[in-house]
Amino acid sequence: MHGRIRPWDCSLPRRPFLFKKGLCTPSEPGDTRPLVHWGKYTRYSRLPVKPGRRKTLDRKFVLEMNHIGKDFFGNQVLKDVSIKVKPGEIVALIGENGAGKSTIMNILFGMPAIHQTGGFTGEVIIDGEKVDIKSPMEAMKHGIGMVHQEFMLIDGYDVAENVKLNRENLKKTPLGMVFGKRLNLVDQLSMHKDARTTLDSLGIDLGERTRVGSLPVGYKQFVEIARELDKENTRLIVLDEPTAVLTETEAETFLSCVRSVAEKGIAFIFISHKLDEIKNYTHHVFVLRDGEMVGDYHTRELTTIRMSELMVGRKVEILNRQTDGEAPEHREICLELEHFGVSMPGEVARDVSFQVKKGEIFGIGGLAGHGKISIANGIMGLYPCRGQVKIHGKAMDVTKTSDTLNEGVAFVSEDRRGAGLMLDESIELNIAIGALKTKNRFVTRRLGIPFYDKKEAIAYAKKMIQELDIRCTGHSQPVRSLSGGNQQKVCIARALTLEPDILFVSEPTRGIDIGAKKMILDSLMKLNREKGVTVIITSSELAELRSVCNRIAIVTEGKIAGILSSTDEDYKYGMLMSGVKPPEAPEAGSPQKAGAAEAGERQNAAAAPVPETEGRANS
Amino acid sequence: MEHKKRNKYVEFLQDNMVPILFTILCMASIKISGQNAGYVITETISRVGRNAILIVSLILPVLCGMGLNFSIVLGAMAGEVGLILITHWSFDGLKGIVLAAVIATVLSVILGTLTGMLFNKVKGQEMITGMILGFFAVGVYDLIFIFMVGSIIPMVNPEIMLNSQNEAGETIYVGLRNTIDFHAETKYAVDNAWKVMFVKFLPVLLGCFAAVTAAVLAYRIVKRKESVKEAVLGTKGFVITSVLLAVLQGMIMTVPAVKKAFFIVQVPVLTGIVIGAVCLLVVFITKTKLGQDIRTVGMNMQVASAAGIDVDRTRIVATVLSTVIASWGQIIFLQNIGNVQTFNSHEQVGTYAVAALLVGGASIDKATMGQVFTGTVLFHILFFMTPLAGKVLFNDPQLGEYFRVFLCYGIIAISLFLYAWKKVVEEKRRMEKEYQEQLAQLEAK
Repeated sequence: MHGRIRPWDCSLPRRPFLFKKGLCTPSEPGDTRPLVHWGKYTRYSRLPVKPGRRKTLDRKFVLEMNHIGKDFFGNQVLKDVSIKVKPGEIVALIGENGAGKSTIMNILFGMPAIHQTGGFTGEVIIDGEKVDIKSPMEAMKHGIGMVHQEFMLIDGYDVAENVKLNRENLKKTPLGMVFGKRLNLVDQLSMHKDARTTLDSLGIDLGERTRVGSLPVGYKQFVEIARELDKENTRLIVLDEPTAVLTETEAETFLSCVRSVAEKGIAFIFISHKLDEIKNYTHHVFVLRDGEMVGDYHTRELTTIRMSELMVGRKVEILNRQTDGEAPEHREICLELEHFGVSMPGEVARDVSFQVKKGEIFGIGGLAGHGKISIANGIMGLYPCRGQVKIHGKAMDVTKTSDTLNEGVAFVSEDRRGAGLMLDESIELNIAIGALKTKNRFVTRRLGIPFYDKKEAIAYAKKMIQELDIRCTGHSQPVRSLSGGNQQKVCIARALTLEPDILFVSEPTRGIDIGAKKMILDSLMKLNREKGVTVIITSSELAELRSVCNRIAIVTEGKIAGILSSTDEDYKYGMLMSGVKPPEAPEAGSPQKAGAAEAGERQNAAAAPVPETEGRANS
Repeated sequence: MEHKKRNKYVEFLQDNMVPILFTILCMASIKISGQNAGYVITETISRVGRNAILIVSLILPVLCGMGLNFSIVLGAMAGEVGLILITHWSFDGLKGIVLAAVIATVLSVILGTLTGMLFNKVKGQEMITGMILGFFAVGVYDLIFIFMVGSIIPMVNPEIMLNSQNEAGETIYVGLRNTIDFHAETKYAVDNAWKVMFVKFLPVLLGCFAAVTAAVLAYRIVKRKESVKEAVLGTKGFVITSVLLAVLQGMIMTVPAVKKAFFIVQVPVLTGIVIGAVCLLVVFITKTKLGQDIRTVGMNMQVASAAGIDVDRTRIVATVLSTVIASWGQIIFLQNIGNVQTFNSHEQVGTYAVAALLVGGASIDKATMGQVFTGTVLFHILFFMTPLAGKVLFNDPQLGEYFRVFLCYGIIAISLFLYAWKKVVEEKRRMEKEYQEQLAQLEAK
């Protein structure tokens, strides 16, 4: 109730202190005295730290899941999977979508879905005790916390209220004594004080009275972590794709924060698709493939390439686009932007000019928040914009979306669950709906009244399912139950139904596992090759753009910083993203990344204007 | 700076559009009807005293994210049952009212629980469900009190029941009378228990408010170490009420016209105390763990359940509390009227209460005590002034009556529309602001 007792509150650090188990944080940063567990008490050892003594602690696992098996109605989804986590360890759990990661976490949290379908085999041991977790609340009592991919935060509350959600500090009242503790008053003052202490221990600069709704995405993640840490007995925190929505710098800050928390003795299970992060920030990696444990390694034994090999079970080939006979430079221009600006919240494009040639695969890259995503959205008329857009040499009023669609432009949104799909409808309707409106396809007229021609739509959907290899039970399956990759394919199929000349695809591989990523990119390339569709891909993942695109425009601070060929060297990309025009030759000997950073610093110091790049872009 | 300031005024106007619009309407109808101020004030005080609790009962469901609780009709029925029973038993006076309240509480806990369970089955459609549930409940109520009383439920009381002859020529009693008069002691029992002249009462009230305000301010500044500005903003409601009361007191003392207007006004103090106690209870609940849970559930049900809050239970509790408070409200209402229209008194309770709350500037996801009282005052002034104004304007009292009905539904429709419109405007403004900020940031670089 009054905050945790912390070692640095104690005036005499040498004396052994007894704490009720779970009432004390293992150590303050820099305090390396070992903890001694003694019945239900924990104390600091009087003994100075000896090398090797910590080993006694290390022997114990905070969590052991042994030989877990689970089947859903005879369909075996987990086979003999074992996971062991030590205190203070960051353990990665990787695998393609459907490999069983979420099932095993559901077992750990005792989700009702598991028990309603016949339970599981194997045992779960927490801190040496075999436990039987029946509900997420019980998991919480055992000291297991979860940081969700979608934030479990209340926007209308301030940070402290969110940190203390449902664990509010209470003041006793007479009514509370009669009618139960729900009628005790919420003690806002001590609640905010406690939250402050927890935030301080995380080392982040975040006001405890700030409303969460007004925080940037990156900070919301911290609030979730702070909430888990604020629980007095938290021993293990599961992070479910915590960095999926963060920018690179935000992710770095977040992960180093996780690491410093781990050093205090709290274990993490880290689920992510970003292998670089796993390589850099975790101690141990468990790889799942088709419900089986295929890898149990120390992270230092693995490279990212090896990790993806283990996950997919086949060698990941780097996609390389075959270059066609005709050089794209000589083809006609099909899309031209001049001083194009879009006011999309969070992604403002200010002054974008470029040209795309027919039959090209054109990439738009850049850091998150610099405006790359808004370009496609602006052309489709989803946000207010200015400047000129020419499609096939014809100037367009892009606010009239139907005109743009009729001109043969189609768009696959980056927000596939929000703007792209009707999640509860069938695959067939999701594919047909776009053409229904704009092209009058899948429409039969009976007595002059237009009806939806379901037969034709089904036939077409079946064809698309086969062509794009959408993994589903049939054309009538609701889209919600498809995996991310297959949902994306449905989006692409719908865009193709419009028979576009120009196809905008935004973030096609966001939140999709490696195997599906390759398939999506393959199908985009196939489209380009076989049907001659001009494809414009917007993506945050540069590597992916470089594997498929002819040319890539880098958007920095709402402007085109430059357009590069996919064969250009890494350092050029780095420099454009930091807003600097790349020099003709790299400085000899200096590493590329450092060079970019240095150049960025130089530019900041001189407060030089963003270099003029229109000339370059238009050439 | 100039521009910014004007913007602030525009914003204030937009935020308080509904109350401002209705204040103007009120002023106009008072002016047109040509009634004197004393009449208007007496009538207003009596109507606010009568209706306030019913409207307060709507607050908790709004906070819990269930929208406007039209199903307080059930609570009103429970209150009526209590009053009918004490009349039947001739258990009169204040103690009778208390007994009626106890009976009503028990009944409305049961009814509220059932309503809450129903609401949990139709999350997101509580408002329409509540409305239809109200109609359904009226049907069941009628069945019980027209047919079952006297035939299935053994009860004989010539005073409140209808008599008829059966085949054998005996007089039998089946069904309740249309209007049941309360016994003399029960009539106005709460209102008349302690009446004080307004001019004498005001200084006491002012003193109380000033003392509470000062205490709260002192606590905030000394104990919580907030700055003076913060503390004043935090206790806005108390400060504004105290200042308004002080201004009124000043005017009564200095301006003879105002003094004359208020001179005949009497205040039912006990009713006031009951209203105050109910308001305090609601405010207290919002500050407890239960209140925090209610607000959490109201803001985001998924997050609440993930945090381990029993969402369904919390929603049921909020509904029960609302129903119970409504039943007390109906008892206060009816003792002020002096009789119960057995089959009609509860019919419009939900609609009128909702309309009043909306007039105060509340919406389906936000309601405060201040809005309750602003709304009650405005709505009821309009409610009794418009027929009079109609009479003056068109020389036809019937027209004014129509106008009243039109007004009530019109208010609900207009408020809901303005609320939706405000939301759209706000979203637009937010996006525009964000865009401007981003541009400014880019320019700064």
